[in-house]
Amino acid sequence: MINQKQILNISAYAGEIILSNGGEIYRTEDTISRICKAYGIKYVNSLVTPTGIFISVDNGDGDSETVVRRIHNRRINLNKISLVNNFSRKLENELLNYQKAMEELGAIEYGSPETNLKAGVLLTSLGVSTNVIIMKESYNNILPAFLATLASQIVIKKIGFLKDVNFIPEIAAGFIGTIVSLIAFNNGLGDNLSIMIVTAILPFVPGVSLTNSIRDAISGDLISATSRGMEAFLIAISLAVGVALALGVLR
Amino acid sequence: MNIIFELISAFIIVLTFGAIFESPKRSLWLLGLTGAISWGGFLLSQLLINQVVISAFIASIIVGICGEIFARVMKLPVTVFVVCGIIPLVPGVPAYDTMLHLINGDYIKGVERGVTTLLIAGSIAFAVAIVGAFSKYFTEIRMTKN
Repeated sequence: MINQKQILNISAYAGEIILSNGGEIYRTEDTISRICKAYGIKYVNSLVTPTGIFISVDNGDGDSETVVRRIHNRRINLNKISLVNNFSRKLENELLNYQKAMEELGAIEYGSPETNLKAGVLLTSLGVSTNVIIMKESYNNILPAFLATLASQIVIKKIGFLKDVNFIPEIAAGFIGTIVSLIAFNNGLGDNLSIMIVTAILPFVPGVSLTNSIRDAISGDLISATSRGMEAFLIAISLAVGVALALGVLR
Repeated sequence: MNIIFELISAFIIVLTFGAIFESPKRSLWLLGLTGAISWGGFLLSQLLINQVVISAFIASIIVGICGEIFARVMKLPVTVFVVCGIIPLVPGVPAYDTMLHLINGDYIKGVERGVTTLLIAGSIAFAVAIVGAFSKYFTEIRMTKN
């Protein structure tokens, strides 16, 4: 038989995976209460902010349990979010015991293999450089845009421990992308400098933070809406700082 | 001919962003489709209205609607589609121009482009918000009916 503490652990783990991979607040709270309700807990209260999860459950007999989880680093992996989402929905039809549930969640968190770095970076840069076509610029900008994107992507992958410091990857990406674009432009590759730089920094545009902040604002989570909006704004500013640094150095 | 190329590029770029954000593999084709449809809407409204802000608004609404439909078909979170779908509409070039003018000390032009950037970004945000609010409204209606 599963006890209250274990149910709490399962729901906190599921919430942690969703939140640290770029899910919205209401989805995290929804998943937590869905899992607890599936195991027959009567009263579930959860408070989720972008940096932490607080859950308190009560079975109606005055005996309540609480758990706090702190979220330190946030990445973006939409696949894990949808897997945990499906997990919580599956749990409503078929209850798992504690060991099994934790195993499944662990498999979701550590299961998906890292994509092959070289091929991934190459294909990503190729795909992103089609931005030149969308923005109605001449096609000979595609090659330098591709090179600039490739350079910034490789630098970000190889940057090591600095990757985990907030806003440093964005500054580095803006800097490297701009330098490569400037070199290409000065050597006669392509005729529009701005489109090359914009294409190089496009993969770092804070689309997820922006979308999540809006969706949080709609569902009434004002704390996380403002903090995510701030995050998006700061990322945009740090990209601009990186580009400005490179332009200032080489001009 | 150019329009076909642009639609294909929109397909590819949204699919690429799906790969960058590690979307589920089975959603990738629908992601690309979302991008192509919304870019078609953008081009059409550019032709009819010739007003970038309103075109971005219409295209983002199309992204939102496609996202809601595909999310229900594939049983995936809506965010997967919306996050990647709005990428081609992001005002990258105006934002870059703003920064460039401000660096060069040309404040009037910088503010001008900055307002354009903010308007486009705001219209995208507003469109996503409207579609999200509407879908919430309809699900609540359906829940109260049952």
